[in-house]
Amino acid sequence: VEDYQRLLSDRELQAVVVATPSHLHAEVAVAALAAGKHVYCEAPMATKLEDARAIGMAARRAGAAQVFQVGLQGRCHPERQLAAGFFKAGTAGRAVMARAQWHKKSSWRYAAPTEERTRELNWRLDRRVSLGLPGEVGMHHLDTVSWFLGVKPLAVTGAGSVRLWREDGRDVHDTVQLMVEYPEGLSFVGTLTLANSFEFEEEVVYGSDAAVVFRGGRGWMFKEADAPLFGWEVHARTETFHQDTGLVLLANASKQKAATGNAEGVVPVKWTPLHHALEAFVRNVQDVENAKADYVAAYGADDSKGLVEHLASVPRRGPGYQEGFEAAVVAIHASESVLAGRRIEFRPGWFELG
Amino acid sequence: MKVIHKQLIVTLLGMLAAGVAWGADAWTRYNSQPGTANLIKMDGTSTVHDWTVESKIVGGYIEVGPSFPTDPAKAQPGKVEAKVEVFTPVRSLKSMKDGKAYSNAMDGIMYEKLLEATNKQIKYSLTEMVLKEAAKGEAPCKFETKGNLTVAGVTKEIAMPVEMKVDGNKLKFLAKATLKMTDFNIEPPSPTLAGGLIKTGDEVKLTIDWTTVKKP
Repeated sequence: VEDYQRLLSDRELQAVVVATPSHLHAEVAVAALAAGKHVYCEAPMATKLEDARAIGMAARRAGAAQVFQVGLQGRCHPERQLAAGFFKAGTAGRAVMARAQWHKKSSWRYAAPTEERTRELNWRLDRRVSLGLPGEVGMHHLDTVSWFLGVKPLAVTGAGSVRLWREDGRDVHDTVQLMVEYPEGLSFVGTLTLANSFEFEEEVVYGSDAAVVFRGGRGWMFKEADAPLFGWEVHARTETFHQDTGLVLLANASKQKAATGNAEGVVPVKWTPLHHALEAFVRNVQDVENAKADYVAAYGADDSKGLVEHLASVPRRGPGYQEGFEAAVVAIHASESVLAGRRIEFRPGWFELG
Repeated sequence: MKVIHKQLIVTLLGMLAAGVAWGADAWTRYNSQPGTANLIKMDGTSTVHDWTVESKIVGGYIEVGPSFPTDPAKAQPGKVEAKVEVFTPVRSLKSMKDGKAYSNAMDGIMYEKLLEATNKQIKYSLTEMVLKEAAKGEAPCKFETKGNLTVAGVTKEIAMPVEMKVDGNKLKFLAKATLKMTDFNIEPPSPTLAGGLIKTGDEVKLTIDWTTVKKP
């Protein structure tokens, strides 16, 4: 699309997916919200705090009549939702720690016919506009911790360097380590690299009774031997990894289902978190538009206050502007910590939109 | 002579217009009041737990004639003049638990059973309303009603006790009825998501809490 403003002026257009480079989200997302569109904005919501705040404020102003969903995709993934419930309900025991890795051998560089287009396409390699690996990838890991364990970070310490891709003159680190501190001594350790692909990606959240592991869009729970019986694991499918047996975290995927062949409720593994997130967005938009139409059909179009109250009662799937703003705050300061090579403490007020 | 005819015609037209206006005054329309606690609720049972579905969208109107007890103090038991049309969009019905939306999967099963794709609304049309008990103090007027309920494209006559309170320019109704899904050709759901192990009971308790406001 050459002119997004022209697109936004199309009254037939109900919803917009903002998938521009991260540093350009704010302009488009704020304009789309002002134009009355429902907005899905990829994460990180922004690469500057003022931009993240501008989007958050615009989404808050738009209110219940519009859907604003941020692309923290993991929150829409059924297996992660299942696992999050175990931590929230205390089934996995006391939160112990969290760890994640994202290892890939990739230059992150794209070829283009002109120098200008090459620069535009490779915005992730430009420190002036990109949050690098902590912002584009690590942010999702940190969001999992905040979501599963209900915590906000107290401090982040990052380190990074360009270990492999030195020839192209990039100043964005291709290898990064993050350590994030949470209340009560809880911590997260993460490694991110574009220089080695060993054991590609993995996220692990450890509880005193069980750990959950996510790899390549699938999830497992590993119970401790002394953990109490949950009940549901009797019916769960299991898979063995070396000496460990993992309970498959797949909604509705029980042994009975496998036995009866009655597995229509099982979500295909090939569905990526992005797939689930966009499906959630489309359903959110559909629900809000249906609720608007039904309210107006029953009560007329004059009662705008009642309509807004009614729309506020329509449940939304997926993360909204507050979660998106908080994740952006974490991403921006994690990136800052890596670049500065120092520990940064989060102040409680930083997570408030204002 | 022509002038006299013309005057006569004008006079007759004037009388006719006045008559129409007088007739309109005799029947008063009350529309569904927006932004209130309107509620259509259905409670049912299953082999695992009871269930509830709700909608806060209750559209429609009631038109009342001279015999309708808009002044409960003057109400006399007997048949009253009223026309009622009420509807709720099927897709606005949501399964609920502890005051919150319960399950999208359950909603999907419900919409399928209610043939939402081809029958967008549940509709009710009053055919008879009889005042049984006039309001006494804070107690409501009590009516026995008959009407046609259309669910999933099937229309059945149902009898329903209705209570009414008059509050200024508003009429507030509370209606309750017990229905059977099979009366509307709906086979009680037995979700295959649960391996067909859950059986839903045939009987459904319907509650309609509806506030209407006098049309300005």
